[in-house]
Amino acid sequence: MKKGRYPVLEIRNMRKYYSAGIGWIFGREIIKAVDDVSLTIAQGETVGLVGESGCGKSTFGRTVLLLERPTSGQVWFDGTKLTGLSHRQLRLLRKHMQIVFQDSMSSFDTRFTIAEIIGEPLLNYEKLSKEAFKERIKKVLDAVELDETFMGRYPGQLSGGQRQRVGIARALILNPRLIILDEPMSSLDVSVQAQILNLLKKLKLRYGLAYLFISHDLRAVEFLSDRIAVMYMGRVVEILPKRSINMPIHPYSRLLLSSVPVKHPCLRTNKPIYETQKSEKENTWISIPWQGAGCAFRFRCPYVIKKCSEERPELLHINGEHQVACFNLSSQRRIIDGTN
Amino acid sequence: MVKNLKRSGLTKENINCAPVMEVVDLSTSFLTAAGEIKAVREVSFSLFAGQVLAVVGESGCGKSVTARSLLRLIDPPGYIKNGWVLLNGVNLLNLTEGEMRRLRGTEISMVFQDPMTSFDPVYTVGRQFTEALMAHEKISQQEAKQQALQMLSKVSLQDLERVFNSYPFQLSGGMRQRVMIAIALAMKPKVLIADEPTTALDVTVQSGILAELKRLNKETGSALLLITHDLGVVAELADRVAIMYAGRIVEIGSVYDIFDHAQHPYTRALLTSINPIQEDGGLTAIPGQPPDMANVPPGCPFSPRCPEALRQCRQKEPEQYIIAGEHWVSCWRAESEERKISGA
Amino acid sequence: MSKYKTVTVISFIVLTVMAVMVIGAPLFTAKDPTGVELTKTLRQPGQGNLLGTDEMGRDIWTRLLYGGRVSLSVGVASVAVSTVLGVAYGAISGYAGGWVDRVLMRIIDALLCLPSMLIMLVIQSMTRPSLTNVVLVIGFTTWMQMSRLVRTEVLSLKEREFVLAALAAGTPVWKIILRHLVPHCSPTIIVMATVGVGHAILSETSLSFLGLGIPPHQPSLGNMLIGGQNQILAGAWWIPVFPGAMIISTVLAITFASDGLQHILMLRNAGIEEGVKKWLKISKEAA
Repeated sequence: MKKGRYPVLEIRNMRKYYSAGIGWIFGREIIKAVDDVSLTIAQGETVGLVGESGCGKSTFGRTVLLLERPTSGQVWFDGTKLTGLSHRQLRLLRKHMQIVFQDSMSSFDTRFTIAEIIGEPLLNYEKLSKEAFKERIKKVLDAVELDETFMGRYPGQLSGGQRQRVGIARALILNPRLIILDEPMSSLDVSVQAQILNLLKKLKLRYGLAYLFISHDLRAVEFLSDRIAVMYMGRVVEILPKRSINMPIHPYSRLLLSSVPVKHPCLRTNKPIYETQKSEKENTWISIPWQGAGCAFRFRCPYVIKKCSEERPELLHINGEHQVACFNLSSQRRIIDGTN
Repeated sequence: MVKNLKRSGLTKENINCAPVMEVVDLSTSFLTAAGEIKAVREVSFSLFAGQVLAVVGESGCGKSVTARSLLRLIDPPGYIKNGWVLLNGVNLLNLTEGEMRRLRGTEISMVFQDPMTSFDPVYTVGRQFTEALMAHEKISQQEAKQQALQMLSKVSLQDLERVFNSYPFQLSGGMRQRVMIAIALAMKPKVLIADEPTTALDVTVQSGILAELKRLNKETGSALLLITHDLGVVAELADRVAIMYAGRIVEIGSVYDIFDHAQHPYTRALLTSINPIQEDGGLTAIPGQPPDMANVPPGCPFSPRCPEALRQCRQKEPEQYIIAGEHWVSCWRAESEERKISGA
Repeated sequence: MSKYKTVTVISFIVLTVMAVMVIGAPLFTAKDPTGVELTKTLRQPGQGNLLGTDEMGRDIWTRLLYGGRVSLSVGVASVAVSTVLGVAYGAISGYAGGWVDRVLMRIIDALLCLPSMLIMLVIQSMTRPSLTNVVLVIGFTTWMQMSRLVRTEVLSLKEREFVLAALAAGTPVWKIILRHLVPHCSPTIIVMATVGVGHAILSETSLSFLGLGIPPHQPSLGNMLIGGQNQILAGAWWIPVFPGAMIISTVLAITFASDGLQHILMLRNAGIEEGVKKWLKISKEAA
């Protein structure tokens, strides 16, 4: 969080555990989808949350909005503690925080017209005349660059990009202060992705929105975010300011960055950033979700030291806003300085 | 035919190295209630041993149908309208279904996007592997298993026995895709078609699979046809690139031709999508949507979205013009007499 | 498909004709369904009485129309009762999930263990036979199947993202159930309800046949059957045959109609254009 900026959302030590398994005969397993995550988003700030599928980033987004109740931890919105509020009180605050889903098709009730879909949040919070209602929908359609002829159409008649615009319009209509973007572009064509990203950036500047931008696409996250949090198996292992995106320190962040396909064939390297052979062996098995003390990445990490399996690394500030959760920082620094 | 061969990428530079597979003027259509949908229109290209040709395009551009047409895996109401698919000089489109079946898996094999759905969930991957081997060769169960394990070790899997005896759901996505590649390469096919092989995978797993494909392609010398929408994957892997739009190849060339000297506005627009950050803080987005294949715009299908469209772009489909060597483009902007592919 | 179509169309025509006839009964007959004419007992069909008369000289055709009116309205009304009950119970159970769902479903299991006919008999023998009682008894003993189906569907629907989206949009839970979940179950509900009408008519006739349904003086298809059974030996076959045929044809027509309806609704639910597009996409990508 930048100094002097007012935090709009504060998450403290959030945990979300699921129990899986048949029950007492075969025993239950605890799956730690979100494991002790703290994050602050300032007014008008965009925080990117990257990680691989199954790392808990989507669960985190939904738990932040309390669409799913966290196992423990607190969510503060604009100075109000949301965890512990009743359903009714929570409903009143929900209008300030909205969400855009990944698959715009399944997040719409296909029996509703676009106007009904966008208008649903409005009906829940405001009593408007028919004309005023229509006017609001027109306005928000205009904001997402769709014309008003879309109002009477059905989601099935729209292309993927148009549907995602409708999804954004629905999130926008209550003039929220925070929007959670849960992989908003991953179901779109490449050429349409850029349109949506541009639109999101424009809206952010125009309305002073704060975003929590959940994605697996590092390039998109880099474009939109002020800060980027890297998540691995339910934990945030590194938080980088935007300018440091190409200089991550945590070994997992570096693996993630190096796995992004190159932008030009002349940048091809055949050498992995570090020997991943070991990690392949350990990690390509769908293993029992990792439990117990220690760093979650220690099984794949080539720089593991003894402390890694004994204690859990905490996020530490290393340079201004840059935070890393790793015990073996000195070796990471050495490697980065040595190779770059 | 001269024109067609030239379009397929066969020029002086590589005439000595004969292509493994040549595709000439391949067209595939679907007959629907809404009329004929031309999913693939007069597509021509060649595949060379040990080389990777990437076919790039957005969803619905016909790239997957092209791949399936090569294997003749088009179900009604789709049908291959015309064209030649020459493998060692034999036109696959003239073979009987039985002959074609013998070719699939031995001469041409395919890797699909989702390795979960391409396995039968009720059998172990080992059993499915040995069955695939024994279907094509007269070998015993034991020999088949030996071969299978050998192939599995080639795709950098460890703990082979355990993988061999696993059910598909017990393997992670990356491992399943590795097994799939092992099965596809087991019969030493001349052509391997990979249809979005890493789209369903995470980036860290994707980079491993791509490295594997790159290595095996050089080692086994089979030609790889890579279908993808991701230019990043292309930049990692491809030797030559074909850009598809609305069922046509609009530009084809070496990977450097495409990345450094892209001629078609669509190619250039796609390229900006992997270099997103611009100085002014915005992205260069292509306006509009990919066309509805039932209703392709007249003239150049890209013209409604094209920032550089001329008047003739909206009236006539552009012809093909050679830019240099095996790099050609289908765009009126590149028009000139000497560039014109003869016979057009 | 075309075979389905013809059967469905015929069933719908049969049902419509029947509905028109029983609703507009006075238009098709001038006689009184309860009018006893002892001079005209046991007349054969034809001869002034279209379908003959019964042992008390009542006109069978007239009684068929009025009796059909009673039986059909019992069918429709009791299904309305069981549908409202079943949908509400099932939707709540499915949406709540967890232990609430488990308890509610065990209650249904328990209720389903008891043969519904037995319950109807017990309840009916304790109360005075009347139209409302029959409707309520049939309604309250047949809602379980509906609620089970609705619950299953709600259980899968509530995992869909649009429910989450509605929740995030601040939509209250009752509104989510009523506006999003139940309408999505409507094909199932409609099909189940039409099948239910047939069953309810059969239940009504059985109850009346046993003397526990509609009061004997009111004509109903079941009452006419029981009245006719003694007269078969006397050679008056027309007394039971016509109401019997009416019952069979109604129930069969309803069954076929609901079958056809299921097909139509399934197509509709996917949206015909959507279906074609989806199919195009599948054939394109050839998954």
